[in-house]
Amino acid sequence: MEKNNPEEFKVPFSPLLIGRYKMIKKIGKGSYGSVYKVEDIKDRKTATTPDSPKKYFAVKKMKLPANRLKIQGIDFTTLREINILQEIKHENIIPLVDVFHINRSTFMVMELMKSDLSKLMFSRTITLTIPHIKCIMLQIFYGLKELHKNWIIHRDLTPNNLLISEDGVLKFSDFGLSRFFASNNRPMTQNVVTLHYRAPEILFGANYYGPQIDIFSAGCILGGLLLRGTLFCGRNDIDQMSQIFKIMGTPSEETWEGVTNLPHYVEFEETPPQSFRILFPGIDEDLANLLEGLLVLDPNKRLTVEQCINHPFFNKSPDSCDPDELPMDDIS
Amino acid sequence: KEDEYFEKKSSQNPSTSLNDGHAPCDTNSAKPEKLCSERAQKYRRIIINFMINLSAKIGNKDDNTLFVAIQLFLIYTSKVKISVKNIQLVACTCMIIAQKYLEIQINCMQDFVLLSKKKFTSRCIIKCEKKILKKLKFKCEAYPSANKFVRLFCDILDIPDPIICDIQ
Repeated sequence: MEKNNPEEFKVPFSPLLIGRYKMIKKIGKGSYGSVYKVEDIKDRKTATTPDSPKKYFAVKKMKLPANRLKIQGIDFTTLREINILQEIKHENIIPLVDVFHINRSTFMVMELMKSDLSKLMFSRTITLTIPHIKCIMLQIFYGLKELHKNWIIHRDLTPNNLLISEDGVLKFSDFGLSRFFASNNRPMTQNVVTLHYRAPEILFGANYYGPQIDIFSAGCILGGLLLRGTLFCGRNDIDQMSQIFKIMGTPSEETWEGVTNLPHYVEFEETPPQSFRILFPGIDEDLANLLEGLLVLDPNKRLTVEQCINHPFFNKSPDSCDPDELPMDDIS
Repeated sequence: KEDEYFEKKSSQNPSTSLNDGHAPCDTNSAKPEKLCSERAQKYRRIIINFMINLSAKIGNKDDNTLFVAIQLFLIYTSKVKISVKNIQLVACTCMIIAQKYLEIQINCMQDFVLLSKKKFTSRCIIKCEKKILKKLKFKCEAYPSANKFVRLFCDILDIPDPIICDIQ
């Protein structure tokens, strides 16, 4: 079909990328660059029947480094993201189809997803029941389990980075900040994770942290799903800390061993920890227990992924629903 | 200031300057040859020497960076014919890729240009980087590097862990 109509390619808004992907429209923009919806043309040419369904993909165009004078080549976050995505194949992690260069930009071809979790979370028309929340959280934990099994910390777990496919399957994306944490003592940077989902040990400037920071982010997401908003919504680092401690209680040497030795440790006015059953009236004991376990301040006392998956909250009725039962109709 | 510093530092190691007297590198010129051939063995020794020195000068914090860079270099040169003129460029680019992948602090490209006595420009590095990544299919750590093999070997045979990388 495309052969008969060569003028179609000359339209400036739908150029062909490396002679294979036809750009259709822009669907997203972020700090990393922009995302376009594309159609795979090569696939249709090789297909035997002309009526075979069109194949759509999402192409992520990585932004060039901001400073044009200081040329750095391919951005290091892109390099790490590609490396990590190539290594993991899992149902809950976004598959990478292709990578290519055009001039100085890098393009990553990925599966096209319908929406992300933040749209579901902040939507005013959707009701999330306990089975829905169970389904979402279990999928997050399955994805995290696969990552932690491969010695990878995601380091940017927010609802914006959890994409949802048409069948309601949650997929992790945006691995630009991820890294391996296997058995070496390299210090780690503190400039990770969106502020509202940042774990207290990073806020205190710990040089070494582990996969527990992902668990804390997951706890913030669970809180957000119950609250239908952001659980800890600080304006800056200090405000963020005070909001966390208002609910979880201020840390001391008894509750968190070694907290006073952390580089950016600040003493806060002492507040006792609050019960989640008062904050969220109507939730049952197991859910409050899980939430508390995810948001424990001391990273060594926080639940691990296995403990989360086997938590009694998920075994109790009502059972978690199937992914395709998630309410997806109103979001685009 | 930086110029002088690097000049002084690199002049201490005369063996590292590989192609003295040659014109600045062009990625597409000169006769290519595979580096794994027998004739090229002496270049291999010199270039790995150069990479060890380079790693010490740019101050890599991680032991793995050097080994991953060498591994990338060896795999790329076994797949692609490169001219002797360009060996240094490819070595520097491999180091940059390894550094981007593993290190927290990344040196700017101009550092590498200065450390190799301005044999190439940073634009050459970017071109070369794309070629290498395309050839290796963006796999940086998928191949086992020498230090990891030695660690595993010692672990299995119960030999105390040797100090593998002590150049700093």
